[in-house]
Amino acid sequence: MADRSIFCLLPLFIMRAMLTQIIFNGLIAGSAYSLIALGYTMIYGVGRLINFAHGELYMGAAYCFFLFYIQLDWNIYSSFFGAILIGALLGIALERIAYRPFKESSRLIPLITTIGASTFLKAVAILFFGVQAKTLLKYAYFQPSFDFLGATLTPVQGYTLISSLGLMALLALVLKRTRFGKAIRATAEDRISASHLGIDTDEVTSITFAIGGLLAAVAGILVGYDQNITPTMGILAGFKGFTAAVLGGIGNIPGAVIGGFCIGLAENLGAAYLSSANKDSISFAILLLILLFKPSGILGKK
Amino acid sequence: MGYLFNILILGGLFSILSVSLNIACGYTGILSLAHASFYGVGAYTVGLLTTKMGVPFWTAFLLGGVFAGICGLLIGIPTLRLKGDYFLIATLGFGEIFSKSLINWDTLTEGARGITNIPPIQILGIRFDTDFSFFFFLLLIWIICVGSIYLIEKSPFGQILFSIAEDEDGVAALGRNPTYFKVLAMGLSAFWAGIAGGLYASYVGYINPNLFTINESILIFTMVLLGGLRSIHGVILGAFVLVALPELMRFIGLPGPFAAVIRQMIYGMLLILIMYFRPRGLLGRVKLR
Repeated sequence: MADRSIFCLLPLFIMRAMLTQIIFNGLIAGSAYSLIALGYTMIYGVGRLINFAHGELYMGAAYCFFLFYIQLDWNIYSSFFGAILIGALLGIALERIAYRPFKESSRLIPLITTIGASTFLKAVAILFFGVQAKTLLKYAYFQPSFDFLGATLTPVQGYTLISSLGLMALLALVLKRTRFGKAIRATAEDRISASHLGIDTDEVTSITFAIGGLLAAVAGILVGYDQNITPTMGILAGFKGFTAAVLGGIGNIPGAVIGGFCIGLAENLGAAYLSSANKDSISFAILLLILLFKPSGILGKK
Repeated sequence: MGYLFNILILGGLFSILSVSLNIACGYTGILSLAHASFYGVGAYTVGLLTTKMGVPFWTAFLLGGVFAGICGLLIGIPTLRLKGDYFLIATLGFGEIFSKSLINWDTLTEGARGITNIPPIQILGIRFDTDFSFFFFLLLIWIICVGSIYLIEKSPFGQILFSIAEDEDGVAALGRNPTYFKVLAMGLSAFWAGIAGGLYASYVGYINPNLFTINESILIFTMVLLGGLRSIHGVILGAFVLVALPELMRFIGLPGPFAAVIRQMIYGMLLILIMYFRPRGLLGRVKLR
């Protein structure tokens, strides 16, 4: 009898341990979504554009890391910084080609050009690296894992969480405390008045795209290192980042962070308790629900 | 000769898709990237009903259109109150999740293997199983589709759609509910996509989830923008041009998988170039708003 009662309790322990694990998985996925959502939100704030090619910046940087780290055999730091630099440069190029020439015309035109850019970048990735999934691990061994508050994490998952929180804090600091951050906030507030006050709004937009590209690049490399990379990895990641930005209130920076973590948690909890095959549909359901009931998002203004 | 019919058939199918997408994009001004999903709903309806349940072609074919239309309405109702850019990304998410579900839901859809041995069209004992006979069947459906959409363009309903594209608030001020008409346009557009899907499934006899991804949606979208929003002639031309493009590349002698990638690159560049040089498309009459 005694043995039995212990066995009855066992599932409860397992459930609790699993729940911590699920929450950590959610936070790790969520931190990547937050980084992507920050880019969407900042670009939307400054340029009133939903950047369709944002997921491709995420994917492109992961492939650049693959090129530097695996194919050219650079060390991990220079590959990492090289790849996020390329992410930022891709952001700038995207702004020059697909946004700046059309900023005066209908809002739908830059949407279409960024769809074009996204299609193009995906095709370039397939052309050079093929459609098969690639691993970013240099040596084929099991990643050592460690226990943290009852959850098992790999080092790269730990780095993902720490570095994204660090980047978010840094971004908040830049936006709040520096002159340049002030210029971004002013442009987002009112583009015309900002330019009358002598702010070079084109320059600000361009750098905002670069920041967005950089954040997406960090997310892409870290997630790619943890999982694998494919040329289509950017589509769903971009969509979920966008959902996170809308959930938090598009244009709102703290909102993007909160939204990202919410999506990550909802997705992992939903996959564990509802249906793991439909994990990706959860973010779509969330997007529809927010847009129906509170289109301004959690922190957004009317 | 068979080769020529092959291209004509593909062009015909894709022009049904582009003409129907034009109802949403061109007439009503709602840009959608879920068109390949509706096309897929029609194809999978015909594929599953005819192979697994032995339903006769006609029933499955019409049901495919109806199911796709219902999907269009269901997607449209929550999302069409959104502004254009939000709507566009919502359809993108739907399209991506739809093609993932075709792979994941493999008890129903056979997953990535796809559905094989879909029987050719058979009506009243007549089999349309050669390129030549299928072409005439397609031509019949094509005329009904393009003709009915032409009539819609000229009808009061079409005029309301046009005015929604021009000035949605104005339409609301005149006492019409723009969302209602946008949802109807979306349903109608999805219906014809489903019909094209059913035709494709029974023409080729084999479908898999790769045929209904976001890339296909972008292809149809490019056809509409290339041809010109709101112009029936234009979008038919756009469909034929983009169907003929890979054939031209075959003449140059590019190997198959490589050509597929180059094609995607061309579609991407084309979207940007159209917006640079001719935002209204080849034969289009209206500017994007």
